[in-house]
Amino acid sequence: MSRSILLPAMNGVRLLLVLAAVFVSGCVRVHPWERGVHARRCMQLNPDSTATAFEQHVFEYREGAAGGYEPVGGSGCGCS
Amino acid sequence: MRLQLTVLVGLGIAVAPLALAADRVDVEPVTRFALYRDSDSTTIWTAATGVTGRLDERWELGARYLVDVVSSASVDVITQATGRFEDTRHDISVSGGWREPGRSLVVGYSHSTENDWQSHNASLSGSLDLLQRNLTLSASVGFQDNTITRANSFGFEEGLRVYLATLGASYTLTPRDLISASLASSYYDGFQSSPYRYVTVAGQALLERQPEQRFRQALVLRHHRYLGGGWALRSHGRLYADTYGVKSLTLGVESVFESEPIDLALSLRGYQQTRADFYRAAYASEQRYLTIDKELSPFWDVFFGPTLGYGRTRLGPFEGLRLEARVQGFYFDFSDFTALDRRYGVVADVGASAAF
Repeated sequence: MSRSILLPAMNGVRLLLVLAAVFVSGCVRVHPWERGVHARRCMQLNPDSTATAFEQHVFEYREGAAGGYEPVGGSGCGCS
Repeated sequence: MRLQLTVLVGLGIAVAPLALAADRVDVEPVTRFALYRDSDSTTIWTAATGVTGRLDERWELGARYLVDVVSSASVDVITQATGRFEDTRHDISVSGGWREPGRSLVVGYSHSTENDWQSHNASLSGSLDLLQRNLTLSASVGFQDNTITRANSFGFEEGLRVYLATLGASYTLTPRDLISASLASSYYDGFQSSPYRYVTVAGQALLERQPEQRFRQALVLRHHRYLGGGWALRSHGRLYADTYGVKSLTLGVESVFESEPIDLALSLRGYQQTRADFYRAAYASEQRYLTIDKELSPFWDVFFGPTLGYGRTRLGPFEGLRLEARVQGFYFDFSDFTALDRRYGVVADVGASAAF
């Protein structure tokens, strides 16, 4: 019984993965040599983690909401 | 002053092993000072200093110390009949990890302490670039263990554990557009009330009671658009909801102009939230949960102000140097909070960072 439930689910996951791969591969439009402006400071998601931490600290202690603005790793700008 | 010197020496000791372990270490110190002052008689001075050392192209180690000095006679404090209070929070954190183009994995630990609160935090975060580095996926998990006591009160001790997880993705949509999304979830388990806040019910003062479990979720979307000529427009939005019943919307936009070595930004941020299900401005009878916490009441706020930056590469002994000053005015409008209907003030901070 569990196998009959799992198989369609696994096939669904496989189908989603294939669709996601096709969709995402179709999205590759920006070549590395076209990403010059993404290396600029104004295009970085989190150019200064200390300044971001200060700012979020002010909001977090005065508003009911929290989370989501912490650094999320690299920015995809292509710079290293 | 002695404390600051002690901390600076401590940070130096924390990073010293890097210098012993590597032939060449790139060191990046950073320092920042901030002042918060509002019309509700609250002033907060914050200072932070930190340093990051890079062993080589891959390994790094960092340490930071932060101190908050709070002085307040706000309506919260006055209604607790404690008068003006002053407190100092110390926070020290260390992190270490592995970064190389396209991948990173970082672990961190921090400990903060104040008069009535102790906190230990641990985190693990990683990122991975895909699709010719057009797509960056990131994930982080964290755990906090907090101990809450009450100043000048023996025998009062409560615990609060927080579990955090964030998933994020950023994507280079066009040569001029960057978009990102992140989903942050957190679960709070333990004492989340104020140990000082009392609610008056039928003439009787009762210590506030908030639910001990709170599940919070936030979805943040961001878009950075380069307009040309040094101009960029950065916009963001957040949808938030939690099991207390608070729902909120945050929207912000920032216009940035860069012309080396100067950059100037002007930001505007707005926020609105609904009340928690159990929040009341006043209680006619005793309820299971009682709170008059204005952060759980319905309100909106707006922040607005400029940031001025100065950055140079290869200046004298520095590989890089950056100075920054930011000032923001703010206004809060509380529609259902008896003791305060509005609050306004200013947040100002200056920072400097360098690379050797």
